[in-house]
Amino acid sequence: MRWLIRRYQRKSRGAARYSDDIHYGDTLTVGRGTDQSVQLQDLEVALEHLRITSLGANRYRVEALTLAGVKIDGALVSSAEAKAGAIIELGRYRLELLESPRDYDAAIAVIPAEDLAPGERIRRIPLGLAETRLSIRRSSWFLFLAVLLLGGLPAAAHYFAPLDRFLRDRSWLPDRSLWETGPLAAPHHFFGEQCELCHEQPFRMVRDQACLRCHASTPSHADPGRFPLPALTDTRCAHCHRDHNGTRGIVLSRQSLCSDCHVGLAERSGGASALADYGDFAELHPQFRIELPRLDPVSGQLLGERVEWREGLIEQSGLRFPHDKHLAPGGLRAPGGMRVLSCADCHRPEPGGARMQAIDFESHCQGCHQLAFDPSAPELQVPHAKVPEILFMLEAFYARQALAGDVRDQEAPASLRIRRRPGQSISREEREEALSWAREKARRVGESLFLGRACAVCHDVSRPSSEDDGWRIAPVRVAGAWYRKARFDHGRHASFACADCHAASTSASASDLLIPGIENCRGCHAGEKPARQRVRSPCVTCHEYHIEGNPPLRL
Amino acid sequence: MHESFLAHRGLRYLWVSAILLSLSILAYLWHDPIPRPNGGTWLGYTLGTIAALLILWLMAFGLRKRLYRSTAGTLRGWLSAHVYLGLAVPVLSLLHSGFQVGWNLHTLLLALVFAVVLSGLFGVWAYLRYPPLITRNRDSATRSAMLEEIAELDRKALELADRIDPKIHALVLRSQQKTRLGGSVWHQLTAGDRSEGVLKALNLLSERQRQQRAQAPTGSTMSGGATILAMVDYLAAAPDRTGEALRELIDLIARKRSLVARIARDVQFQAILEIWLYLHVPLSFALLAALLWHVLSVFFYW
Repeated sequence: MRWLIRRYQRKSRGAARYSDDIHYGDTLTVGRGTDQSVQLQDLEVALEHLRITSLGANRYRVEALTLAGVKIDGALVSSAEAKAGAIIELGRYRLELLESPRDYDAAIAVIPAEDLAPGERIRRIPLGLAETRLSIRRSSWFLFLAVLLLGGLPAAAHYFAPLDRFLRDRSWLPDRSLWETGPLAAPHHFFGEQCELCHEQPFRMVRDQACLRCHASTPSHADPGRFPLPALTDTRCAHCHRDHNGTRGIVLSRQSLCSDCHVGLAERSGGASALADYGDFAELHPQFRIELPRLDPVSGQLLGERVEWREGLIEQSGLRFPHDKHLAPGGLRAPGGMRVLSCADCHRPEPGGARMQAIDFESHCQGCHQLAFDPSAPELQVPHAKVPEILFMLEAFYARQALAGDVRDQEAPASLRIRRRPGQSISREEREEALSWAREKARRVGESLFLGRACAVCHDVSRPSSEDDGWRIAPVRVAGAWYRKARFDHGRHASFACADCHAASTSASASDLLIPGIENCRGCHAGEKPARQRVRSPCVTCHEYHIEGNPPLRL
Repeated sequence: MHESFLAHRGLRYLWVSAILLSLSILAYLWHDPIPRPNGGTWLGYTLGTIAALLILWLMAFGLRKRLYRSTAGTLRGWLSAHVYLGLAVPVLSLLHSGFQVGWNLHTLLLALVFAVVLSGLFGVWAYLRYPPLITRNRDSATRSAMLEEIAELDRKALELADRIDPKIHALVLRSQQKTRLGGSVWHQLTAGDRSEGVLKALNLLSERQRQQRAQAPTGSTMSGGATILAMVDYLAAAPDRTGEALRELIDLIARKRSLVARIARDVQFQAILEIWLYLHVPLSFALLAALLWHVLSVFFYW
């Protein structure tokens, strides 16, 4: 095998000079010893340092003959295969494996390293962070641009809808929510991904018209005609209702928003307002005003009237109803035997649970309080209806009896007590007699119903004062909303017993007002300030701010 | 007399920072916005503006550092202010945000503020702790002088070893080739010894040395350790005339070992002294980009 050994001289002025040698043999040995094919005078080279074998096709095997090993392309190994072009570091020398030139089987170049200062070879390894691949400048640029790109994604998505969709469809990619300053209010979540619904134009504050697109029918805070307050009419919705402040952040419950106006209003308005001071529920709230029925003497109708609650307030419901008897623990005599009643037997919540359903005679009372009127027909009852309807039904009933000759009343004329055969005609006199009896009978039975057995048990009934006048039943108001300006939700208090607030079991008269006053509520409800063993209750716990009945928000 | 940048002018900037923070915290406690403290209230905008301007000014420290001819205050004064006012930024940022966080760009900015300040705090700690350690470790020698001494020791050791036996020469040469100082960031920071990896690559050890290494009590991985063990073993069996040379050789290698250890420590101290800056500055630039978008985005979707 024919080896080419090309020995380079020290470079002078950039020009490389070399001389070629030829070596015959299967292998090429390198070392400090005189017996080596390539002899290198360097103490860092062992006497027999390494052996190179040509594998053909410009491939070589390099084996270290010393346990110091051999460094090929920077890696310290004991033996390795290497291609032409590989560099072997050996003390002050570099050996380069070459592609074999024509006429040779293998070739190697011996290059003396540049004159290196003592210790230079150790120093080539980074001894400071500045010499490593770490670079402050590069990583600064990288991070700056990375965050610039990431942070700009929402802007790109804003102007380029397909990108917005692309990002939103992939939950692992940041979408426009990257710019969100906080969670949207819960009711706004259904359109929350469409920023431009509220933020109509970039760099412009959210305008009221964006709110009113959905909230057109929301009532205003105060009637702008009666209260033209700039603080209410000229303020942007979003000035107070700031979204992106949590799922419940948009509904404002701060008491001062109400009390700033409602404390000292009379004084400030120079007497124009007669409203009392309303501040903290626990400390500054007048007694409740209860909506009570009041009989209007002119129309004879019941009108609502707000009356300040006080102990012993009389409710003119137009009814007689002793709660205590009905709630007697021993029960009541009922058609089916003894029956113990509870509140819920009559007072059922409306669907939704906030208020109670109206009491209704047929379903709640008639089971016991039957309106039967004639012992001969105990199964028949007059309807719980207006007076003329009852009288009409009675007259019709007795007229039919008289015409049929089926009257069992011993006081009736004899001609009416004879049962007629079907088809038998009656005389004109007999007919008039029957009609007259039936009228009189109906009148008497009616009177006993109105005054004694039935109606007067519960109702105030007044006798007709003249011939063409009729019976009068006092108007009745059994249930309804007791607080006109506040809301009370029975459903949210369902975990309490009725008797906790309503002293029904000791009430002997329907005129007892069973609606409690403010002290009862204060037993559990504090004002805005948290208090021990009390529910924190700012104004909006019971009062609306967008007040129902007010004109809608301005357009 | 030397005055630390921390104590510059009687802690002037510590006071500036403390007063700024106290006023901000008092304002935050007094302010009671609807529905809750956030960056969009007048106080939120004020605190945010102060924090943003502070950030820009703090980053200008990198410029001031390079303006050697600048007369706008001493560099030590700037550094003192940089540290104390820098510490105010995370507190201002938290007050500005009303302590609201989420998975968004704004909280990324907040996190970056904290990361930058923490890395800076590490820098302050390192600047207080390491310079004296470096001085003591160098013992009034320079690093290049120590490196030159190592090269000289290496050369002498090879000469000696060559006179004794080719096998010893090979051992010493191997030991020298395995000597590694510095290297990657991790190796610099831990002063780690990379000879273990090289050892694995070396399977050319003679049968006899393998046995000797097996007998060695714990198989030290110190670069010089294995060499010395091998020589001690050889020494026991060697004729007297080589004994003297071998003892001299062991002495040389031991001296070199302690020198290498000192340089490794020097490299380590220097690396710790510098590494925080490799986080502090790039994270500051990430912060700057996040700040740009933060300000832009809240006014984009105003």
